[in-house]
Amino acid sequence: MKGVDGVALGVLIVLFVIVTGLGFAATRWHRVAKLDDLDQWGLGGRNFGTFVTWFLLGGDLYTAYTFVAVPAALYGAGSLGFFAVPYTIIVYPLVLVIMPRLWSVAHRHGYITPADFVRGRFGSDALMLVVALTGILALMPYIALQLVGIQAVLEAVGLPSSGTGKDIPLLIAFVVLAAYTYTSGLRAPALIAFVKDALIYIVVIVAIIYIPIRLGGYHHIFAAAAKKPKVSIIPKTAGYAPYWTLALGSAMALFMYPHSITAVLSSKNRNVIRRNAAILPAYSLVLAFLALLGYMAIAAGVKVPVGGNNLAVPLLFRKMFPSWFAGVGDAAIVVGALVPAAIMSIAAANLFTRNVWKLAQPDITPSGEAKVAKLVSLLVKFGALLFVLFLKVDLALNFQLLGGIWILQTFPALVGGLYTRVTHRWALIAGWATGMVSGTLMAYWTPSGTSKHFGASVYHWNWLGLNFSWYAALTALILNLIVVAIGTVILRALRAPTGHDETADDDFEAVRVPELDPAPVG
Amino acid sequence: MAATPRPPDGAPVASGPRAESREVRKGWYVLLLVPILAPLLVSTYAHKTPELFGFPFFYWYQMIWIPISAVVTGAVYLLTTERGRR
Repeated sequence: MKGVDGVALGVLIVLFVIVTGLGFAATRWHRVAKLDDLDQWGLGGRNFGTFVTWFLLGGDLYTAYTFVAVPAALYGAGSLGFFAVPYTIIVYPLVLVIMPRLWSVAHRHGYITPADFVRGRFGSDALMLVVALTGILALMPYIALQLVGIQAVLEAVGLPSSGTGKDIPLLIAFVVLAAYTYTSGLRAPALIAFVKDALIYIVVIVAIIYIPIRLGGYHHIFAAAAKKPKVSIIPKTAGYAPYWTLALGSAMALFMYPHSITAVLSSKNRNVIRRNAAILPAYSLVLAFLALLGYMAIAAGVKVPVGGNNLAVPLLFRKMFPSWFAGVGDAAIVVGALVPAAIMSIAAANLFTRNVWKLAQPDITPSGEAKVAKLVSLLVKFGALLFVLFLKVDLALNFQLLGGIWILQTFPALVGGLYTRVTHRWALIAGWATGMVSGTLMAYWTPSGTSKHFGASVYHWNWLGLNFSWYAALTALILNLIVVAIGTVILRALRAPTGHDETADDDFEAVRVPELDPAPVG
Repeated sequence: MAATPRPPDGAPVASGPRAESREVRKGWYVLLLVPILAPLLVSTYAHKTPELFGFPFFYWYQMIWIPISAVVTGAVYLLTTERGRR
């Protein structure tokens, strides 16, 4: 690696300091008397409007890892990585249908986490625990990968990637992040998301105009990409099923992730979510162009070290942009990592506090809940940091792959539960277990060119006379649903006790919560 | 636990004095199947040509579905929302 790029590093540091100031100032935003319950700390007061929610969700869902990994996938393997585009096309119509129901029932009953809802709907602590632990398990590696994104940037700027002191910049970034998340809660990432999204939009718009001009146009970029060994820019027939199952499975999984749900529940009314389903696709357009940066890196002759595809975009910035603008691009990725990492740690902390800790301490006060959650948010981030510092990045990637498979297994309880409680709670647990075990095994059995296990997320199924290559999460979900269906029929026939359902049909359509209405203002 | 209504000292939740909007004509939701299904039919677009502005068909076709999906989703939102707002 070449020496440190002082100008780029300087710009990166200045932007980081600005963002840090915003993070701490966020406590004063939409000021309230106290920040000491979970509605305030963990959901930002449930008061975000359409505009803030758009930035918050955009900043939350399009993570630094996405910005680094999606172009890296195109750089390394070509068209399959572009599944991120149909994935984000499908997801918003699904959001319009599903998420307003969750918002409504959560507001009627004061639910803060997806597991709160599952408990209320099915009257089962066990099912609640299963959903909560799956969420925490899926979030941990996701947070760790945000750090991997930051690491890639620091390496490309030229900071040493080995030797003593190599981890100090990452450590500083994370201590600062932990501190303002602790004090400001969800308000901090909500405010920082403005800066993040502005930076991303600026960088992408410049990149998609400026870089192709320097590289001789898009036609030339695609032609150069097609010539790279192992890269195929149009999928072949055998690649169709992996492509659409990855898109569909990922879209169904996205809003099962607790950090997505945290952002949804922080909005102030049902229509905020419905409107956002129509305006969030603006980010998908950005993502599509970002993905193509992978091909631009090929055309620009960017060379990465073995296994270092993640460096493709940061190195492209360094090669094509003047130093100061490369610094802006780097800052976009780093700040892009901080927003989701904060929301994810808040979501994990909410889950732990409400659905694990509270089982042992049922009479905890609201302010006690906030105390526990704040501490847990620190622990979660610290755990992710240890993960990245002491374990191999590959392991974080493997767990992230598994996280996607695991989180989709909560779909029957969570989304199914929004529409029906015909499914029996014990059958849902059995289905979940089936999906978790089978999905994990499928990932374990899939080799790649360089490793025997966890090689890819697409599993070649060759059992029971069936033969297909699907995203393992979706295959596992089908097994899950089969067990839920059969289990429900058997358990209902045996008249196994169903839990108490505290929700009513009109809870799912509630537009607002009358007893919470404030006195008219102004 | 979660069943008790939260105390009214929480931050404002609803949108103040405006009239609330109602959701109507839910049949329009069927339209959402179009942007959900079209991107899944890979065989319909896994082609190199025709190119547009140097983009192979595979790429520009999928990117065009982003605004189409947004327009359909936005239209369904408007069609199913009775405006009593503002």
